[in-house]
Amino acid sequence: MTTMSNYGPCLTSEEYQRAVVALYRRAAEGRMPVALGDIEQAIKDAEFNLQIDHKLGRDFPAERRQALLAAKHRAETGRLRLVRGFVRKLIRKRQFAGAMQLWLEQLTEEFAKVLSPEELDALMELKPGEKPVLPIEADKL
Amino acid sequence: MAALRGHAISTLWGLADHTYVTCAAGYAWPCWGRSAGGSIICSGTGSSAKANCISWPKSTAGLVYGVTGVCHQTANRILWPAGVTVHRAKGYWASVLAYGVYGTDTVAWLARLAACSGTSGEIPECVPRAAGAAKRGLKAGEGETVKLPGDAKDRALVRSIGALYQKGVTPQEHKRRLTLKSAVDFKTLAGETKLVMQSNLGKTVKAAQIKDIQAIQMELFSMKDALGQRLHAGSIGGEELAMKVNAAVNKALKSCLKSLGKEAYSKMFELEPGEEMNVVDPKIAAQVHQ
Repeated sequence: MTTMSNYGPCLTSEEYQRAVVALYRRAAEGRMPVALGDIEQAIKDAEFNLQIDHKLGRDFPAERRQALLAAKHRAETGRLRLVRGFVRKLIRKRQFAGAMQLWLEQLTEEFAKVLSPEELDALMELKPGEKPVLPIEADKL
Repeated sequence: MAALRGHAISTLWGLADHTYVTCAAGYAWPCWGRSAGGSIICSGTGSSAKANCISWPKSTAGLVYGVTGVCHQTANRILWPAGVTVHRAKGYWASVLAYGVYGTDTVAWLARLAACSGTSGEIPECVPRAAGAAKRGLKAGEGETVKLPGDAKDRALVRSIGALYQKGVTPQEHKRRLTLKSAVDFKTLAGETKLVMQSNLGKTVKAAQIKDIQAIQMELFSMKDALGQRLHAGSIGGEELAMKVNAAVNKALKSCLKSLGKEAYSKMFELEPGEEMNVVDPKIAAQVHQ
């Protein structure tokens, strides 16, 4: 059932799911109008926009979407740095799991500069006051 | 088609869910963790053989745990044939923020999809026997009425190829694959070709013919590998790549015809002698490799 937000109708779970699968199907079939080198970023951005459509509403303002995307792009550099450190064994498993959690919390704080607390909770599907948690178990790394 | 299901189990600390995948007959892909208990959070129909192909090796679906994805991305990949995701799992949106829906290695994921695109049907573990299905309380349409596409021969071939690829999990084979000089694993492909020839041509196939076809295939793959490198270096475009690959494939088919003879050739490739085969669409190649 479609729900309404301050920013128009939200994609339902089913619509969101179908849209994400269709996005990857287009990419897999070579139907995305971007060069191969840019496909990764294009997919990730489109995927995040669908999450916004699903959680915040399809008419969520473009400027604020861009601000969220920009925060996500900036954070990606940090995530890659962590991954490189872990792969080169400069960071231990427990440290890596902890650092990834911290990374997520910092990104959420960046989002909080753009979103109201209610909007942030809706985007991340959190209860009021709840922190997002990454399901990384260090012993499985 | 089998019913593929995504499950969620609350983890010890209760803040995020672990997810795994099962088919209705009860076979489970653990996705790095437990594969029993919890609740079903999504379900759809799709080929369990394709799901299994995607899941290789060891239900990791090619992801590096914590680096390119976690259990959520792994489950989503395995659920791809059913077109559903585990988005109702607790902690899902946090992991999507970190890794995306299908993992951070998007290009490798697309390659995996392409590699498994030819796989269809069901794995035996996802086809419950009527009695067993009734015992497990399965309803019609949840597995026991699954009609298998293809015959027993196809299933045997899929199983034997699956076993060949499972060799990748032994330390020696893993080391061999890691130290390959080429991007193409010729040894595994040669093994696959032998199995396909034995399946398609039966006992009439001669060892010399298998060697011939393997040699032709190696030459074709070497050429394709070199073309791929030129494409990445930017010295040829997608369209040119497609035309060169198609020409190489047709040249290889002519060599196969010469080695096998008309009857075995038609049986093996389901092609008439002289029939041209364009496996790469130049338009799509041009679009993808802009």
